[in-house]
Amino acid sequence: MKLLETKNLGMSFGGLEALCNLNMAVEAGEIESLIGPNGAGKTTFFNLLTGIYKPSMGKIIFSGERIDLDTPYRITQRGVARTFQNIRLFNNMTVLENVMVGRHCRTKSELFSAIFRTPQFYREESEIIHSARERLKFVGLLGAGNEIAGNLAYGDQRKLEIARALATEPRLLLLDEPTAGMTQGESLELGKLIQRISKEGVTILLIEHRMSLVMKLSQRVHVLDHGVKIAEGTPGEIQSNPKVVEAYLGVGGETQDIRELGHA
Amino acid sequence: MANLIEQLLNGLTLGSIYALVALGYTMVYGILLMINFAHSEIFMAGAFLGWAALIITRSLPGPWGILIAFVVGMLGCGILAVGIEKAAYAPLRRAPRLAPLISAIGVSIILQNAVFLWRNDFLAFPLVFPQVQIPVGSVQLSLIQLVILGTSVSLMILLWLFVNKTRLGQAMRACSQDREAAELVGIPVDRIISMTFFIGAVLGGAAGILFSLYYGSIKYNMGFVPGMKAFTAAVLGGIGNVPGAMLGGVLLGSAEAMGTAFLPESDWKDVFAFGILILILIFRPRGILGEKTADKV
Repeated sequence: MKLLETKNLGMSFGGLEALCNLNMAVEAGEIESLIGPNGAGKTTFFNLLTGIYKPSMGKIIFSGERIDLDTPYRITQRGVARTFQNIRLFNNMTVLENVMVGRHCRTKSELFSAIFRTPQFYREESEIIHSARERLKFVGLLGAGNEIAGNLAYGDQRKLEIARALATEPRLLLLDEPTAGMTQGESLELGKLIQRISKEGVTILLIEHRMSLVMKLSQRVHVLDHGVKIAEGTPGEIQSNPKVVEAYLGVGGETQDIRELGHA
Repeated sequence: MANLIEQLLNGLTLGSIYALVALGYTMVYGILLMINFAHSEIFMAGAFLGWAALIITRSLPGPWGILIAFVVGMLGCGILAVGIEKAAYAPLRRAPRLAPLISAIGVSIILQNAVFLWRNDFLAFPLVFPQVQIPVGSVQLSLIQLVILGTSVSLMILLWLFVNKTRLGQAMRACSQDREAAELVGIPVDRIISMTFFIGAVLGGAAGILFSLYYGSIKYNMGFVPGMKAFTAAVLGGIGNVPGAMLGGVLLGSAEAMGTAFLPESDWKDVFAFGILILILIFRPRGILGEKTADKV
């Protein structure tokens, strides 16, 4: 079953075409990756999926319904969550509060019950804290709940961002370069976390430059170059696709990626 | 010495009113990075709505009139502010930052002139509280001063609890730290913005009534000077920062009172207040409790 599908999706900024005629589908339950040289349009694609940008043309269909006209928070309520390439936590709030904010879209209590402290309010309040703790435990940050998010170590901030995204109960999780800036060890650990999330039934779409990780985790890989999809297939097919190798060679400065591509 | 303390209490009274108004500036700035210059007219509207309610409920016994006046003034201002936000600011959400600012000045002019057309001179505000002095230690405090201090402190405590202890407050803080990220974790940002305007205006409306009860008269342009002072207070405390606005208001009020106590003419009060604004802008633009501005961008 296709969980996410785009039809002739296009996005241009002024005269610049960031994405062109993109037809792509993500199967429910899989881990799929989106790769491509810098500037290929990967993050633009995520911004379109989450409603930050409205597409210049085409459609986005999530779980059978069109979402490209929705506001970002509606899309989150529908079950799409994401993390950011440059971490965007609520830095002045505690770790636990960050995750609790993610639960906001799954709760009902309005101003009325918050002011008059109805029993329903207390029930929901304790449910939120409980489930936020569960998410922190899942990513291994349970002990850090009361720390200020901005003070966490870099790798832990990445994990917290994932916990916050998970708190929205997504069906599709978009991870934008989750291992950027991590050591090899940390990124292996994060790979395992991604696999555990997948086992919970969450479909994952991953933007990642670390090819070893992409090849290890993904069932399918989609390759973008200059806003156009140039290839799609299993990791094995992608590695031997001459177009992909060429796209990476043509850019330069990505030599490490290419080597990994060859060895993975 | 007693005189000095009395001056300080006068300052605290006015300062707590500035603080209430400053909260409206600072909360809106925290989320939209916009100075809502129409906020001083919300203050004025609160006074006029309160006045109307007091006149209509004249015949009611005991405290009912003033209670109704507060409810009408506060809710009326809240609704007015949400309407202003939807009509004049929301359509400019993606416009350059200067656009909503100019829109706010426009709204301010419209509101002032609307009231001006109806009544262009002073209106007497019913002095609900008898002018009795209450001895506090060695100094005298008037009943109305106590009412002002009590009301504003209670409102500020309520606000603090709301912002820090409720989920909506949490959502509000999230929006003020990163609006886009908040929306992407499922927070209906537009609703949170409306709520922020509503709460800020409720406090501003209450401040307008308290101010009028203190001075006994209202006028279409009465919001201008207190509005500027409250804005100064918000900048002094660190704009965008809620405890900062409270602190800034109280500090500004006290500084003003101290200034008057030592300067020969009380007319120097305003010079003193705006002198402080200029000094902060030069030496500590982020205010006492404000974050580094880089964090905000």
